Amino acid sequence: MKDPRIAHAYDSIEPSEEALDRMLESVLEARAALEADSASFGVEPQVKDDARSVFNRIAEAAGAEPEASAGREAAKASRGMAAGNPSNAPAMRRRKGWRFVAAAAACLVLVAGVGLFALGGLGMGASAPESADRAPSETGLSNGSLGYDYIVDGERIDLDPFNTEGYDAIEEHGFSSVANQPFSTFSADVDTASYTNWRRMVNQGAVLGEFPGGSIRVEEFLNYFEYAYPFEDCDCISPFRVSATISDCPWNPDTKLLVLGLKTRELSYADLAKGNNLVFLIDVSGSMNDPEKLGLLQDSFAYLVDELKPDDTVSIVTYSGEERVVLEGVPASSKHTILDAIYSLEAHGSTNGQAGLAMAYELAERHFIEGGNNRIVLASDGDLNVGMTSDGALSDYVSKQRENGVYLTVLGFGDGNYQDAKMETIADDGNGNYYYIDCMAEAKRVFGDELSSTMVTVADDVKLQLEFNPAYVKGYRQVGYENRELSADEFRDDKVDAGEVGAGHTVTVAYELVMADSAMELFMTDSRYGTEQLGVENGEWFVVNVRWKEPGETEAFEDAHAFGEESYTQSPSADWTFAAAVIEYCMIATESRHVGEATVMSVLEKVDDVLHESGDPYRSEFRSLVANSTE
Amino acid sequence: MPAWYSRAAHDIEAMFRRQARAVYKVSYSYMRSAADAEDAVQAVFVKAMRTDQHFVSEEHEHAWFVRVAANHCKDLLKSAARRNVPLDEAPEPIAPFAHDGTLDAVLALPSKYKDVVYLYYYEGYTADEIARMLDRKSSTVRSHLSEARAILRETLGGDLL
Repeated sequence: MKDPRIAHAYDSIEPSEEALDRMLESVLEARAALEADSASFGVEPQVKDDARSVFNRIAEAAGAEPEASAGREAAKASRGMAAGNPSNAPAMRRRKGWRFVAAAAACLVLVAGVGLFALGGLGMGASAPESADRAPSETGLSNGSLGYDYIVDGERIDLDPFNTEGYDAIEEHGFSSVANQPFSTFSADVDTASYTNWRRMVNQGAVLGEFPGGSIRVEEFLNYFEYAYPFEDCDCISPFRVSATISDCPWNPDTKLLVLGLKTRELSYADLAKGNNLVFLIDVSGSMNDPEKLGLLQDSFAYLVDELKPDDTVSIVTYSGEERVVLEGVPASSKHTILDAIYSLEAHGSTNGQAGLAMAYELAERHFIEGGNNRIVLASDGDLNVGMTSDGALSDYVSKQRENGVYLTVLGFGDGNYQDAKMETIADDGNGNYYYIDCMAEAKRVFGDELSSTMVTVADDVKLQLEFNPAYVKGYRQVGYENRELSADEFRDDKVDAGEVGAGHTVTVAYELVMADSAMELFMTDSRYGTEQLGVENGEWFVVNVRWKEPGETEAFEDAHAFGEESYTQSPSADWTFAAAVIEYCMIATESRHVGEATVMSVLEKVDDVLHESGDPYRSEFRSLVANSTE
Repeated sequence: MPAWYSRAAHDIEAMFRRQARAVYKVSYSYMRSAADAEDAVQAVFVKAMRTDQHFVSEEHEHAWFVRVAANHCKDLLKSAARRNVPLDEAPEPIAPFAHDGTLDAVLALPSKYKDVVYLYYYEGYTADEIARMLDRKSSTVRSHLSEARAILRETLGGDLL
């Protein structure tokens, strides 16, 4: 016989009818909001485990009271603590949380797109996407010159948000003459961090002229988006398909714009036969102690854990002043154990990234799955400030470790002291990919929609080499990939490291082509010994050579794809037009000397043309961000 | 199309009528505040809209809601503790319903016992059934029950079974 008193105690916990009505109403409103999101963008909106729903966060970001949280607000009102009164504790808490809430909401609004205007009834107007950090001063933010001055607990804090962030300078490619340089050689790159980091800066109020030099890498902007490159079956061994579209360059009347697309076979993560051995290497140093860093990091990892297969194994290593093994080789089926471990992490102390890396590599090897996906997922703001932290020493270390077949995924979090250069270097040297997570929606993209691209490498050391035929093309300029450049000789030097490409990844590469009949003059060098190259009139404008290794193997394969006039069109595809718009914007933002006739207006017009055809939410987000970055 | 989309508004409403009270009771037992419990109820129903979980029976649906509510509240409490922010600074000014010694004792239990105590004492499930519902080992559920019982016996006195 169970003690009836206990059951009776639960009996007494009973919501009033009014409370039930209130809750039901807010649930139905949330459903309508979700429906609006999904109908307009097909992207599942962010509703993470938080006392407030996404719905409230947006309402709050827009300056409205969270109506759906009627219960909480009613309770507060009843005890005489109206939200927004700066003199009491709850309001202070709200204010401190503001930046996080605002950033999350802005990101969501933008990722999600226009559909959230359905929430207009909550006080969110059409200007909501930019309202976040440029909110009126009564919300606790004042609009300084950069829109970055915050008032926290009555004190004004001037934040120059990017002052301690670290970026490597980029030297833009110029035009090369085919006579001097028939080959253009570079490593594939599938990183997207530069784009999401830019998105974060725009959401924080940055405009053109304020983006730190080196923070904008056009290839990472291009690769952030999806393109409908074909993937046809063939009898070949190549995991790649290469397609090319050439049309008149929108910003330069003397050149053509070539957009090349590489696509790999799509694989579903769940269908992979071999297991996954993942080691989460998590930075818990003091600099991570921020809800936008550790908090978002924890939510992101929790999301990833949810997506794993039951027999995947997970280890967790944290590092600050010292490294600590939190979990070792736990099957993903023990979800609670893993989630408990993730959410129990706390940030303090200094950072010794290398000791943590060593431990992570050791665990990855201890649980190594032959033929499986053995991968360290490193999460940090990149501020490694103890021990061997010069980029060179760290990258040497990581380069040595990659020999063992362990891949590396690098996730960047946070702002203010964000170390982009360091993060990218580690990812490149550690056979890895690199993402910047600015909000939960991005974590879901990296670990949800694109999990197999993120986690499953289909080709190692992928190098591309274009050879131009001087009979048709007299010069070229590669757009982006500046820090991926290789010498022509390195193409077949298999000791030279290059980028990894995951399942279903697309790699987009662009060139400005100077055709033989172009009015543009290039600087040719006269050859004293008569090695002038005339090329062959065989219809091929250029050939794309791809060289790669099967994952974990040492033997390299090579494949060639030639393209000629058949790739030229006067009415290019939406993908080509969108890529052109992205390139134009990056040239404007980096103050490129090749910017030609490109303007923000020409960028927006192109994106509008494309959006007319497809409602891609990421592309429409790009449009809003471009518009917001021009004040 | 996400799974929740196929759940029409009236299905959500029917689900709410079936499950909201239980979700509220469970949530309140963790959060100990009516406002936080209401927020939790809303969050759990939003999860229900978004899950692709197909419910084979009302029993199944009910188990899902209880489990998700308990996990949601545990996560919230954990994350509040992590950020060192009390979820609600001030005590409830007016309890929405009468508290007696037993309710206070139940509310004072450590989080890890609350779901099993609720399911065992209020909903009348056996330890084995609870283990299946919460995806835990029977032995864990039994030991949690007996530890919780010991604490309650201490507070409430008597021959608590």
